[in-house]
Amino acid sequence: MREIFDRTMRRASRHALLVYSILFFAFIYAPMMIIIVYSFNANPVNMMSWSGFTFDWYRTIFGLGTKLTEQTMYVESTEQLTNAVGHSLIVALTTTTISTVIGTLTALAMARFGFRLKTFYRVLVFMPMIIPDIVLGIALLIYFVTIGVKLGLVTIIIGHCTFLASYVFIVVSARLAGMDQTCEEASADLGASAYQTFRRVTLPLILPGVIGGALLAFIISMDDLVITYFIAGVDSTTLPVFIYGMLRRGIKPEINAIASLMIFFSLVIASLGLWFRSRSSR
Amino acid sequence: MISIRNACKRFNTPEGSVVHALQSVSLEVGNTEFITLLGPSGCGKTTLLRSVSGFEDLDEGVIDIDGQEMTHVPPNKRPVNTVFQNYALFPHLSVGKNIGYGLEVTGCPPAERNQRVGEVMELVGLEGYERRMPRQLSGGQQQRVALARAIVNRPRVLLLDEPLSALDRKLRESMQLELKNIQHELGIAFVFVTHDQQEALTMSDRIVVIDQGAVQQIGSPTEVYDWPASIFVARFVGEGNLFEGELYMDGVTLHLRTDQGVEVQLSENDKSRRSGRAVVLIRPEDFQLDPTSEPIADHAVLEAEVTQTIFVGTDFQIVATIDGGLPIKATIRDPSRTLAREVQSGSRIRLRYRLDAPRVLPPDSSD
Repeated sequence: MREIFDRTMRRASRHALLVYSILFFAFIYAPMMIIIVYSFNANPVNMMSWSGFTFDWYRTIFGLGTKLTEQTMYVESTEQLTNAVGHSLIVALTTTTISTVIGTLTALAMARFGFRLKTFYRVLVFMPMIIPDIVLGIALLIYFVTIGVKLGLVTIIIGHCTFLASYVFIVVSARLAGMDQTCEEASADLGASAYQTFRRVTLPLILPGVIGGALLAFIISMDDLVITYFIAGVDSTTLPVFIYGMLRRGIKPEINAIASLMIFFSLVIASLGLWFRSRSSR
Repeated sequence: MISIRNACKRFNTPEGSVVHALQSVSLEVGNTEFITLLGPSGCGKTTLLRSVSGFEDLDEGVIDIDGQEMTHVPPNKRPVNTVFQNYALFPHLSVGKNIGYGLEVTGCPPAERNQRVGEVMELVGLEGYERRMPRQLSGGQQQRVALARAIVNRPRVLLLDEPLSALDRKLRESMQLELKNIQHELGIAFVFVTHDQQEALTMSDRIVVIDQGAVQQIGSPTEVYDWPASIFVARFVGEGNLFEGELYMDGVTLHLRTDQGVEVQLSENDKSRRSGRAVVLIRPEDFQLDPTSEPIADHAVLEAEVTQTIFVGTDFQIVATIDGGLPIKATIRDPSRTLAREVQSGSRIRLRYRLDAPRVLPPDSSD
């Protein structure tokens, strides 16, 4: 009798876990699935009611001809959208390069040298991550206006670098903490110069951290709205700022398509990161 | 030849005090000598090794290698190589690349590099492992890679920082012999750091006993074992019974009366003093069981009550108490293995020793 009870309980708890897991993932992924599904919805007026499958929204984004003609339904101009994507890519690639170099060098300095007020400097490096985006955005705006820099791509790049270097710093520091420092001594002992040691031992060993930090910086830069919103000039709208502008004039079906493409893009970047990590830990 | 003169090194602790890691250490190492720096952890032996390899800057003193001053030369410009305690193999490079690293960074042409890598791999018994990654090797094999990597540059001196401490006992003992053979084959000097006195006695041409940053004694293994210069050396190298007390002459024989009132008889020799406070060392293996009570020439006897008899492999170890409460240890060989039954806890024994076995040491000034 007791045995049957135990077995039933075990089975029930297993089922409960399964149901819980399904609910958990549904909670996280349902909104994204809905966006992707409706990006193929042919109904131009009411997004929430399904009226057939179409690629039209994707076609509009890329400026290809569609059956639909009602002007008001579409992105004002494809050119604006491609400009925004272009700006985002320029900003993301530049900031990723700059902040990866700065963040990695800072992490190396913090890990390798002892100096006065080290903890204080470490906090200084962390700070931009902790400060609320909106505060950082306003502060940067006031700063740029005060020193008389014209808002544009350059100000966005400078603004992004201020906090993305911190992210790279943290990821690379974690990797450095797990690295055997006597490897560097062994390299010097065997006759390598400081540069050779960095090039042949230190850099290969921290490379997974550097690449992970760079990918993280790239995704955050592509994605940033709040700070960019303040410091972007009129001609330097990035993709998130552009989408936000579209939303203010009402939710249009193309947004679903743009969002789906962004999800896909982020997945590609994340898989790249995971692939690289598994390759280096093998 | 390495010549270290008057090496001093101080460290500041976070608490604000100063630690003297090296206190005017002077040492000469011969061209083909196997020399061991022996001492407890934190005694300064690793600091001394690292100042030879160039990773520690001396506060005072001079280090010469082959007549060239090396005191402030950076590590990558010194004709020495190191086998690190944790091996410090490059995890991203194969065994072959690890071993060839030193040749590669110093610009050795690939053909010669391959040949020399092959030679040292054969020397340390790693043929066929060239393409393996370090993490795919056992501890003993990693140790061999570290050794091969350090000798491929043909250094004048090889420094070894407790390289065997991570290996199990059997492997360690076979590596001890192998290291000795490799040193012989290469014909270069080895400076070996260890805290294991057995290892030091087994491998070295000379042992440097270090404590609290200062050299306590330099000598061959038998010298250090048989004629320890201080109580520290006597305690650290081998086991010993130490009796502290007052020396006095009784007619023609020298005696030590311990503070507990036990009389220890010993013979005079040119190294011993005749009076004053002193410590007398008798090694456990210097004792024999004396079943008779007939006096034998040049021997003396200590009577004791047995506390414990332990079989430790080849020998029996007897722990006993001399009248007056002094503990004493004796190592007795008994091939018939009946000793444990005959000498049980509580029984009284007579421990006989040759009069020239005890060593007279200066009393410990720090006590």
